[in-house]
Amino acid sequence: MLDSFILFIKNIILWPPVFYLLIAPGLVTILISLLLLIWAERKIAGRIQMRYGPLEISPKIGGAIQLVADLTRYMLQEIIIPRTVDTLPYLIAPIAGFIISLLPVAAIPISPIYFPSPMTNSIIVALALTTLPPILNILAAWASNNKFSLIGGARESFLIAAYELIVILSAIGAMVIYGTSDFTEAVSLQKNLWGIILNPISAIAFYVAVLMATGRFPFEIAEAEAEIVMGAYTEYSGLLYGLSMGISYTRMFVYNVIFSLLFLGGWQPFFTIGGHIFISYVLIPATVVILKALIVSLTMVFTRAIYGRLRIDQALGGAWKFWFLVAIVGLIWGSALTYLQQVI
Amino acid sequence: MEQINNVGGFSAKKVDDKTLILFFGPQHPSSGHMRIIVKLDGDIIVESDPDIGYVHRTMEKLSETKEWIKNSVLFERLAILDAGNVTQAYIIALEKLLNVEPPPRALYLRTILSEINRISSHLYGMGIFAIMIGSSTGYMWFFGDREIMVQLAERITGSRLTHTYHIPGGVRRDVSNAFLEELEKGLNYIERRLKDYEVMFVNNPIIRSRLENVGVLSRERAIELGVTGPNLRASGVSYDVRVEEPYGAYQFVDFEVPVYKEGDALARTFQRFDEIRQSISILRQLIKSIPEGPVLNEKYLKLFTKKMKDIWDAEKRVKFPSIFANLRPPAGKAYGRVEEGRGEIFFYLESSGEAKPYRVRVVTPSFRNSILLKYLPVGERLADLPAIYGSIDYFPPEADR
Amino acid sequence: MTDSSREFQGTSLLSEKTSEIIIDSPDQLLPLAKQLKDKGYDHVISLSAVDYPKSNELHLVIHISSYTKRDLQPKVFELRVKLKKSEPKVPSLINIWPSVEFQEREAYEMFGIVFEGHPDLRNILLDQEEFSGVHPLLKDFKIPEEDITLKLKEDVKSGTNK
Repeated sequence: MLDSFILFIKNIILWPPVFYLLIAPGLVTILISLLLLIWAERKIAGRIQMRYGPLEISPKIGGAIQLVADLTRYMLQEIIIPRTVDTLPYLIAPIAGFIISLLPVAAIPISPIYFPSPMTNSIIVALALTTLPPILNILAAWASNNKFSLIGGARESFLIAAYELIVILSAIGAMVIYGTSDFTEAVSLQKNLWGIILNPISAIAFYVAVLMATGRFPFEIAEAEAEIVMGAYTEYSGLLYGLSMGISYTRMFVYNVIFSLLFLGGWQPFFTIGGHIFISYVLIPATVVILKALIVSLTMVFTRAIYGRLRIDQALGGAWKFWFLVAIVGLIWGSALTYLQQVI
Repeated sequence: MEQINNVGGFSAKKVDDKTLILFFGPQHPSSGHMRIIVKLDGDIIVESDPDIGYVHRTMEKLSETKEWIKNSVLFERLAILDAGNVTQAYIIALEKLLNVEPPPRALYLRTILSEINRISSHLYGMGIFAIMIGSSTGYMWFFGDREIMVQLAERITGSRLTHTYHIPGGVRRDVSNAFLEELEKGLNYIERRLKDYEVMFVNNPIIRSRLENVGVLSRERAIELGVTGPNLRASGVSYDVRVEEPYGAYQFVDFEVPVYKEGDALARTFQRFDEIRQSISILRQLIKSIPEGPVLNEKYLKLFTKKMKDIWDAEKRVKFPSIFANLRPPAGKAYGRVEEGRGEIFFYLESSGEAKPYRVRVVTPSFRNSILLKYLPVGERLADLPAIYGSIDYFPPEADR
Repeated sequence: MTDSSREFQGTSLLSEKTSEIIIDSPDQLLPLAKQLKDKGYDHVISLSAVDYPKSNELHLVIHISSYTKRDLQPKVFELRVKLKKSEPKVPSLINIWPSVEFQEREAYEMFGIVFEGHPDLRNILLDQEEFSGVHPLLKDFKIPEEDITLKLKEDVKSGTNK
């Protein structure tokens, strides 16, 4: 009886859709990565800025669980809902935004044989799903009924138009080389040579576009605390505010999982340990992918300590006049590689 | 859009549909204790109305109810990050009324404090400026290094911010030679760090692109608007009260007044860096040439009791003779002006021979520069408003006395 | 004394090396200010007033200086205008020295001096509603005393504060 129950639970958890969305690279992994990322961001920034960073909670491990304390505070804090807001969308926006920012995980495999859902167009589906959360951001801005939020939402919508195209074009730049729109196949083709070496131009364009998409410095324009007071999230407090802060980190992590699958060889180097199927085909590849994504994310949060904030016109100008062209050059480069390969 | 209807105290403004009125403050992360009412057409500011009266402390009225010497404590609250310079202007005006002069060593000590204050004030201003344009590292660096100057000021005066160091006819404390060595060390540190700031902050391509050609103040406009301090000099006017009407020990040192022609936010930032360099050079000269001697005018030294003299000999600290509690300057008027970190501070005192001032008028550099907040942001983007605000080094409590 | 003669006296005063001029009538302010501006005084450091209740006068005190002509003496020139306390009105200097804009607003709220021709004459530091018609820097303005401590004492005496 008990054995069959444990087996049932095990099967449920290991059922790919549940495992992917809940364990890795889903909710649990993302929470742990957030813990690490935000802690590292604070610590690195602290080291550069001549201060300690978090140290009050758990001083022995360098304040590593500070985020847990922050989350607890957010949870216990009163959620103040201003009278002037449009209540339903105001409540829905950050919650749905957080969930939707996790959605692309449903199309991202982190193992060669263990898929969240069997599909051959997983790259396209994942990229399509990453474009959804900004809409919720704009909804939050509109529902807040605040001028600063409105400006933040307007800025976000300008930025979406600029970065989405670069993300998708540079992803296509990689897809052209692999000749497939399936993550698993793309990764297996990178066994000897990673995508970043085959098509560095598209990789750089993708990286910058992700910086822009997730509001990292110097593109922290839609939030811009010193200018428009956190933009769309001006009116949020408590847990809702905590969630909305989580959205950009979650998006960044998801984007970077895609980045490491497309350009950093995914779970390569891939190796198996005889007799341990779960460890060989799920745990090790998942760890490799997540580690790669974490390292890329770290370089992204690190920009906070170096750069200031660009102006919206500078960011848009840079995106359309320079990075858009870079993405197109990357696409041409990828096509040229494929053509040469066929000719030779 | 400009029509204002005033009916029985209520006022209404007609605004066209394209204009968005944005209240930038008083509860805004980068507004300080003030509000700027901006009208936006899209992202472009079409009108800006600074509403600076959020921290009024009635200083000019309050000073009429306090004795002359107590007012020096009141006025340094104008700008506590630059308290030495503020008090100095008041005391210079009061000394003119009383017709006393401080001895040379006191002049040197005053100038040392002034320059330490100037460096810390510039670092403070640039720290705020850095966070306004999103450079958190700049913010932390400037504020962290400002601590050195604040502690040096504490070593001279005994208090970190509100020094109350200047008294009519001299200063309150003497310094030891050990302090001068510490000062030299502190200056070496700041000089070394200035290079780091340049790499990380002003020569950072992102920061530069935010500052260049933003908030351009032409030379003519700067003179017309009566702008003062580094903002004036960054627009190409070489004017510095330290040169025009030398006070303290400035006549004994050589220094340049840095000037920039461009008049944009970047020029104002460079201007502050150059002024810090000049301050370091001034301080080095002062350390070398500071004379020995008393730090209080002989007129007051004569009044010292035995106990006061003992304290002076043991701790080099001036105990106030009773005359200070009841200063009665002869009837008359006098002005005192000093180049503060943010510009020229002007005190106008009028005495009726009483124990309390008849009228004190103080014009602070931030009040004179506040007019820039009305004229500079027009035509710029909303995101440039914090950049302009930070680059003019505006300090709201100083403007709103 | 007629206006023209006063004006003449003003010019003669200017030619001397005085550091201040006192004029009796606000009408002479603008011509005098123009002369001073032509002489090189290009900005206003301070514009404020002093209240003299004994002689029932309000003196508008203007300190001007020069950024461009650095050898101009005196460095700070004081200009005083005697105003009637019952009706303090003076032409605005904003067209001659634009730097007075905020200072005139301050003098308006603090002393009730009306600057005719100022484009935007309203309170700058004080609250528009609380301080309309009340001018705190006049000598007859009594600072409202806070009687918190006094009330407490009464309360203690009467035994209501338990």
